[in-house]
Amino acid sequence: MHQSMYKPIAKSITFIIVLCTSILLYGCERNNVDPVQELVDSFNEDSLDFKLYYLGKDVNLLDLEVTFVTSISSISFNHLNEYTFIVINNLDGLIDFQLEELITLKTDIETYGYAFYYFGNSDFDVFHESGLLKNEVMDPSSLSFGYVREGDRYINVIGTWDITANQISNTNDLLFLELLLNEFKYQVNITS
Amino acid sequence: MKVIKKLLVLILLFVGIAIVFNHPTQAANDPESSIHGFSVDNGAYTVNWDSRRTLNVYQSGAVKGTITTYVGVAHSNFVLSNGKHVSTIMIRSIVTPKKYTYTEKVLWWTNTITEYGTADELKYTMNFGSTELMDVDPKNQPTSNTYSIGVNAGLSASTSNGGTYGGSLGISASQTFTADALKIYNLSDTSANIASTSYQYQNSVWRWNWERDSYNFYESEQKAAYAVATTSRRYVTLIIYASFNSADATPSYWQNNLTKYSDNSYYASIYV
Repeated sequence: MHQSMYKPIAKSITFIIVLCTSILLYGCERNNVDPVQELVDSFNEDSLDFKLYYLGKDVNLLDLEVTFVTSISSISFNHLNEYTFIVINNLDGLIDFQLEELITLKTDIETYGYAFYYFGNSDFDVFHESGLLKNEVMDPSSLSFGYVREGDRYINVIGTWDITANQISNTNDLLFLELLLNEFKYQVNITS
Repeated sequence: MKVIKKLLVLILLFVGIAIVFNHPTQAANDPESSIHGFSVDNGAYTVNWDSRRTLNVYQSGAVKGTITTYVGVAHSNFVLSNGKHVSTIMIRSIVTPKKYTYTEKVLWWTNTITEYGTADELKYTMNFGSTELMDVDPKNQPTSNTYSIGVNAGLSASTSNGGTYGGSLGISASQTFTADALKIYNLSDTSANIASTSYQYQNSVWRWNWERDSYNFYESEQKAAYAVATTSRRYVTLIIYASFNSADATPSYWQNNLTKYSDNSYYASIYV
């Protein structure tokens, strides 16, 4: 057989190898749905008197029972669930905040015993001015803070969402939900 | 006689009132500090436990373990002879390794993997810069099942200022652990005003805990305290570092099949 006849065959084999490798690499997928779904189920149980108000960036929350709101003024403070959480996700930076509404929000949170969490890259100054963020400066590692009751007073919970989580979240679209529910679980356990 | 009796009663009453009002005030422990396992005289310090931090360590995008850290700052109400105040930073971390499950999918092949995290090391570092580092605790590697934290900087403040009304200015805490399970290393350099403590979990006591469905050291807790002398209060960075190992199978009592190592650090701003 002439040597030139091998060329197309060699090219075809090379093409097939490259194609298979590409498919293998593209097809590799990691998912950690199971433990997150378990967490979600535990919060959806009727025995846990839990309510979550969520405002902001669209994230995968699976089938967690959530009340979505479009503004802070839409949050209801006229009922008394045992564990009520407010989450504002401003990681996409699309929400503007007014000092007055945050001062009112802080008063309502303390009056009704709600827990509050903010996720974002900005606006920490106005949250500090409102009293929701006690530190003048945000931790260098953190992109979140919470204002929650422990014992008989409110403290800040910082680092629920950190820079590392933000970096790896593109490989795990349930990471936000997992970290949020881990924090809620800690908070429920400590106050129950 | 009646007048004398009345006078005597009045004198006794006066003496009684004087004794009550002049009795030295007992040192009272700050209740918030007590919750976190520290004993702090709240007559001598203004104490603040306003925050807790969360540090997660990840493996393959999943949470392998969580460190929950409470930071308290006790700022002395008394002034040293050099015009400085003493601030003591109290740190309490709860270390929680996690069990996690993920699926690996390659074309038609799907594999579900369960792994178990176990704590490897927890470390605190604070560089105080020009602020004088006075005392660090725990100081040495412990050899017993209990280590005690008792920074003495508060007592210096008391001596330099003639003390206070019978109250102690000390801060203390104690921690119980299995001696073989934990090694404590004081990595501090007081000449450079750097405080650092490393808690290293040892391999020899890895043991499967059937009840908790995890390794021992589940929810272990560590504490430290650092005292500085400051002329003005400011923010200082506390670095919390944690590393975990993990196993992809339930280990036997004697087996050591921990494999994957991962770590993460958290930078917190602490007002000292």
